[in-house]
Amino acid sequence: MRYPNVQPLDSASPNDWLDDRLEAFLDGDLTPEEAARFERALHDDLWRAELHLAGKIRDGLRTLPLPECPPHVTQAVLREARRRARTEGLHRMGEALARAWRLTAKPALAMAVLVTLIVAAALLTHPPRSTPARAEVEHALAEVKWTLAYLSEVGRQTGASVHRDVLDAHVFAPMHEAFETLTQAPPR
Amino acid sequence: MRIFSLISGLLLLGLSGAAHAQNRLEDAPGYLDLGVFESWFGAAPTLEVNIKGPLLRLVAEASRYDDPDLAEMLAGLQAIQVIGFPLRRSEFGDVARRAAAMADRLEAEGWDTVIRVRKEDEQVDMHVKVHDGEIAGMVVMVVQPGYDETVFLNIVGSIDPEQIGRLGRKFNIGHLEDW
Repeated sequence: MRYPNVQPLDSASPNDWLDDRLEAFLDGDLTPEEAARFERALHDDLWRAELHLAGKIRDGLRTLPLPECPPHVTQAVLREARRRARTEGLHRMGEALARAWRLTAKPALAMAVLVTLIVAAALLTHPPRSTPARAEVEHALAEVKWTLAYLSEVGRQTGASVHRDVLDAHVFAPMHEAFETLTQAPPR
Repeated sequence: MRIFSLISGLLLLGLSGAAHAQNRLEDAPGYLDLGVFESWFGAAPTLEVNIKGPLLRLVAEASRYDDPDLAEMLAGLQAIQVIGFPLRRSEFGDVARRAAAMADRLEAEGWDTVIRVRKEDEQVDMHVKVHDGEIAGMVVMVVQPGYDETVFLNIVGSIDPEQIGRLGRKFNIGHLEDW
């Protein structure tokens, strides 16, 4: 087969260049510059026949019935699609959580740490005490009653002491002295 | 946000510390550290009562059914402290002199003297601390030769002397070990 001599734009041979771009021309995928160059080559009958043949092959392929995908391949593809979706979903969820962590969780964690520190400080300054046993409470109750009784006794005794002291010193003694004075005074 | 969190935390810590400071028994107006008396004797007390905090609350609750008056009185208290020492007759003068000096110190610190007895072989001082119009504490110092006859007592909290007298008369005094 003889091909027209077409001036190449690059180092590849002109016929190879045209052959490589035949399908792309049919699909309209060439750049305007490449398309213009390709159209210039179509002045040649040979390349027009090549283009016509390529178009017929393409149309023929399009009319062929589409083979059905075997079920196990379909299932495998769907499984893989679901796996990727899950992976991407988890990834997106992870990113969302990370974003939420950056925005809210860090301050919340900081507050939680502070609260923990406060509780720890309170526990350190107020060491937890074990609940007193029943016997200890009863013993303490007895001590309370003893203390109250002691206080009452002190009040009673000191009251009596004050009473006796005051009366002796300031009432009975002066009265006794006065009586003695009166009884011992010589009669007039 | 971080600064806000930090400030909030510091404020909480500060408030916690302030609340703790306010609740300290040692800061109560009617509190007296009885440890000072121990240094006069050079020996551990032979009689000791120290009821405060949760134990005092439990004692109040334990007596609520049998003796509501006692429970009510105890509910207003923060602490009951008593220590007693044996005292030889030869030591009476020295301890009595120290107790009298302590009585003067308490008066200087705003305690009111309720009872003062000075006898040859017996010395008694009773002081009360009035705070915000009500009795917030009581100190009793009894110096007398004998075993467990020299006693120092401090009741911290809201006190009604009449109530104490009324309650005390219900209970018979004896040796603490007999209770």
